[in-house]
Amino acid sequence: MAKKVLIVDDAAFMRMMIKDILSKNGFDVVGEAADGDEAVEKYQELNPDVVTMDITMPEKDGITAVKEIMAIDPAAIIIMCSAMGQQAMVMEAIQAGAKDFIVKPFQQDRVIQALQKATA
Amino acid sequence: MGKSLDSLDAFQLEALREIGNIGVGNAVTSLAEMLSKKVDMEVPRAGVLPLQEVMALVGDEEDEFACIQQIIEGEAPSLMIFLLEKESALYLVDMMMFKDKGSTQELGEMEESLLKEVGNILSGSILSAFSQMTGITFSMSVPAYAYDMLGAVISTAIVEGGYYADKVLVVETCFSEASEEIRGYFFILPQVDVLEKMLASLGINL
Amino acid sequence: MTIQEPEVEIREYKVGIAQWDVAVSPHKLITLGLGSCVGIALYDPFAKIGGLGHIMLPDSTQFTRNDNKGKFPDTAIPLILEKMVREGARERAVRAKIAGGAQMFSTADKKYMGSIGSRNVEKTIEVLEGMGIKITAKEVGGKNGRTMIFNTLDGSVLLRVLGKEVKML
Repeated sequence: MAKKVLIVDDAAFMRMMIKDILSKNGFDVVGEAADGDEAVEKYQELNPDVVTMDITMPEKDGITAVKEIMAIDPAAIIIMCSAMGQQAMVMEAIQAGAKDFIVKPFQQDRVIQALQKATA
Repeated sequence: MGKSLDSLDAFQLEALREIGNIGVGNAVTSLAEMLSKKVDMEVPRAGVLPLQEVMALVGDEEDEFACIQQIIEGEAPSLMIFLLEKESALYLVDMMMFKDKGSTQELGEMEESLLKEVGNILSGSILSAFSQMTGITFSMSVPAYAYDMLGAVISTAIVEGGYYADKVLVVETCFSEASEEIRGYFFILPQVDVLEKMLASLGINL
Repeated sequence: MTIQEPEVEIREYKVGIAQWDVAVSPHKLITLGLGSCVGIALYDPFAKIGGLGHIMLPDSTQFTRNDNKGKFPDTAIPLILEKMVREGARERAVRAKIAGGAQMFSTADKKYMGSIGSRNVEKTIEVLEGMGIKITAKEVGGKNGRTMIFNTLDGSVLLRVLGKEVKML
């Protein structure tokens, strides 16, 4: 059965692009969120198998959202997908509970493999 | 209290230019990946310029430009401004969406989102490079977008970014996709103390 | 034999950001690409003398080093007026037309401080009203950049906006 994905990114364009890549590669995109607050809400509502999470977002940033989701569901699988590739950021995200970190721009394969590996 | 802009000497400006060079070089690599095309960049220019001259680096006041602005907060407050002339913006959108050149005629909501995201990714690349060089961690605001006369977008981007001085410290470069059809301009405006901090982290003292 | 007056070549004096200038009829004063900045056209219709300013920030008293008086309405307007009077204008005859103060940028971030445009407009109006200068036209706010072409021949102000018809103030 296809894994359910929640896509979180403030850029509509990026959400569209990720949705396109994932849908064509065996994933079922069940929802989208444009900021950290919406991310936490939708996670609880949709209970996805995996989440792709941006960092720089309005209202609440991605790392804070990761912490909140992990507090609600310690088994949550979250893959960061951000333009911010700085070492400190990556470490902070992983420490917050993210399973992987993809820096934009990314190759399609990178995203697919990261999600497949995390949800295996 | 940091130094004033006027007291920056040629050596310091050159250092800034080099930092900018590495940063933008990273950004250009990212852009090349996104487009799957070769992207070239010009040697960056760094200087302390009056606001009016900043605009003249790119074009005339009434030329139509898309402008993506991001404010960098935290330890090293700065401003990033990414500019694309109308035709370049349209063509960039075509390329990123795998459409034929000339398909995109207008910049609507989705196109705006795309351009903001490109600006975001480019800024991210620049900051990653800076961070690696200096050990400083930067945090970025969500990108802001405007499409209008060059004079209006640059002056507003700078003033709303919190830069009120008569002169601004600028690192500017222009990059182009191999057939010259996408020309973009990047302005990095660091606060003066940021320059001090960055140079200090590289072992250069002002 | 008729004596012909030599034709005066109409000049366009460009006013840049944080600058200002004064001209007499029939010349024009022009400022391009007003974003959050406000263009201030002052005119004495009897003497046909005009002054144009391009302010970028609302209040000079908030800055310790405000050596450039053209940046703020509270410092620029008195200077422009003073020069106009030196050229022969009568202070009491002067009227104003203003344009600009737009919110240019759109962002998802609700905390974005895009209020400089409206503050510039507010302060400009405050200064003009405080000096008893009547504002006969204003085209402010919105999201568009504007170019102002001020004609000292008749005090008219032509506004150019991207993608829209020109507007006469």
